[in-house]
Amino acid sequence: MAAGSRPTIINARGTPWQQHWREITQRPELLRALLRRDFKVRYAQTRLGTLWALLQPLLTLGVLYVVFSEVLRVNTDPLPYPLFALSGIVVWNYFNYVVSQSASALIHAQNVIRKIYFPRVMLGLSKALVGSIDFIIGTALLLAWGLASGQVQGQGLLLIPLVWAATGLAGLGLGLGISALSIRYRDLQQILPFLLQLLFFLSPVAYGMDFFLRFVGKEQLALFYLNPVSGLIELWRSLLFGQGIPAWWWLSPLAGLLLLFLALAYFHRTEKKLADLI
Amino acid sequence: MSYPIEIKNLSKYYQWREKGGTRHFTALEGIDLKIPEGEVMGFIGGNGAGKSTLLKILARITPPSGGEVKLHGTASALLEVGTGFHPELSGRENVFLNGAILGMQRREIRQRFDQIVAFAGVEPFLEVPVKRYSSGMFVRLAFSVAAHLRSPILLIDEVLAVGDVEFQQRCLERMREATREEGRTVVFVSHQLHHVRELCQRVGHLEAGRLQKLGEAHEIVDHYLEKYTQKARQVRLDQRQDRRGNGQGHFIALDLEGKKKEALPGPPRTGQPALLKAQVLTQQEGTIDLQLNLIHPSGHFLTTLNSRLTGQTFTRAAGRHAFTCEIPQLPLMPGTYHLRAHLFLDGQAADIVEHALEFTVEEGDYYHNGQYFRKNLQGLFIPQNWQSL
Repeated sequence: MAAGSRPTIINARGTPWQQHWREITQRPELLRALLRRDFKVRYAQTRLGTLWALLQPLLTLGVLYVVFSEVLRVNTDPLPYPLFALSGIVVWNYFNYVVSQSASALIHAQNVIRKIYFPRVMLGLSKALVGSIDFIIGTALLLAWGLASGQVQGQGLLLIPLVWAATGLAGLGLGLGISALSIRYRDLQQILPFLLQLLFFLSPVAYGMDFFLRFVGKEQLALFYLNPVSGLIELWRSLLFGQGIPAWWWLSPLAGLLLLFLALAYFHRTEKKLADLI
Repeated sequence: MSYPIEIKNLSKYYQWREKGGTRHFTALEGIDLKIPEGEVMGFIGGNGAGKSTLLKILARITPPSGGEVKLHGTASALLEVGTGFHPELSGRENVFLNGAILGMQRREIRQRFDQIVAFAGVEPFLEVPVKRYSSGMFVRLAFSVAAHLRSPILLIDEVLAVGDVEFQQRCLERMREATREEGRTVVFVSHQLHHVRELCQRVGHLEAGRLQKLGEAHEIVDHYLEKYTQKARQVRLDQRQDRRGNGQGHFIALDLEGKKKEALPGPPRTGQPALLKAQVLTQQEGTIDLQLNLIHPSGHFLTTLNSRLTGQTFTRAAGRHAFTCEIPQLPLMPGTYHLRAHLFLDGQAADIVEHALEFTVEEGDYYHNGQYFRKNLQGLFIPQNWQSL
């Protein structure tokens, strides 16, 4: 920092969010270093390394295929079931990774938090970006498969980054909110896996949204779009495979953004006292 | 003169709920201070005096409850060596990661990379994950990254106490360079009074969260030592509250007496046998190691009476135990010394008491020939034998 630039003020109010924002943007080094760490550590000492980013969605697909296509006979016409499910899995896995990783980011970093200052949001942000690598690899696999089988329509592909960003932000919102809440209530860390499992069955990953019509009327279906992933998966499929865009889909990203803002506000409030509480 | 650190009426209170109401604790109160550019400012005080809290507030790890600090310039905090190191990453990767966490630019780290590695002496192991490093290698590399920081404001807590004695000396040397020659502003907090004395120009003495005294380093450290000594004299060892350790056991009594053959014990005397007596109370069964560090009046470490070094570890049940340590010929020059007492149970530090026993050594005849040194210096006599060739 050059002499004469504005001084850092430390008082009871904590660091204002504008200053946090400046610190995040002025220190790309830190984000890059955290990213590098999270990426390297993710597949450290595995034999297959990054290949797991390809194998994991395929293994999930295998399970879903047997259960939902072979046993429960879920109908996904006109799309073949594997392609249908894989497209859902790619978005879901990304969301799932971001939520679960950023939710434990603060607790895992407690030693650093007690000793060094930096905007703590970066811990979660780095996890979200590392998850993107899996998303990109999964999407490549999906596109290759879809193009080879002639199912992919070209025009929507440019909007892929939009789905990526919306999913990442929604995941980050949920994850950061839980990470800040679990400073006081560690129990959340125990509940989180079940919560995510529940959310998985409430999302159109292994089946379409019409599946829920078996249990509720058409009018109540909108409620299912309050789940931040549902509408995004639907939008994603319609972009890739050129199906019509479902009504209500926009409720999901809206819910996701609202979640993100609430989570960031709470996170910011907790952040200043973090070292005393953790 | 410019002041990179301005502290105004700073306070920090903790409160927490307990059975029967809310408890309050004042960690800091009414601290007013300006630290001029290029100064190395030290803080001393007992446990809970507020040193670490002050440093944590300056480092922005915890917010104050009231008052304000203005920092002009980037501040880097070294509150612990090796924070942010990841065991799975290699030494090289950790240098970059840790550097970035401490606030260095990638370009800066690259420029100083060779220096950092050379200082730590880990060149052959750069590509090895640090989880395979010895603890010595680990702290050397960690200190080295921190020591090459270039922020205009540096906040340091006890990080010097790493590595073996030789490396500690190099760390101290490096710190002196970093603080004196490059004109940066440093806040330094330590239990090691001689480090504070050596490194700092001004020292603040904190007690119960308040700044008791502020002044030139030697003056404040001397004053502190004197006050501390008086306090230690007044309170019995088993009543002392200012102890560290896991509390699984503690010292009840310590004594050092002179021993003459078939005579009553008297004060310890140079060159005569002396007997150290220690009583401890333990809460669990396990191995007991006693380590009593002998401290020079200036606060420097002199030598150690150490049952682990002599290979005499004792395994005892929970309860009260007495130990003695015989010193066949007391090598101390006349003067007043004290002991820093450490009790280890199963290798874990159970009790650490600063200034656990103060004793005065009377003049005696070390070389059994009627010659006396008489320089009013405190130090050690050692066996020696002169010859003309």
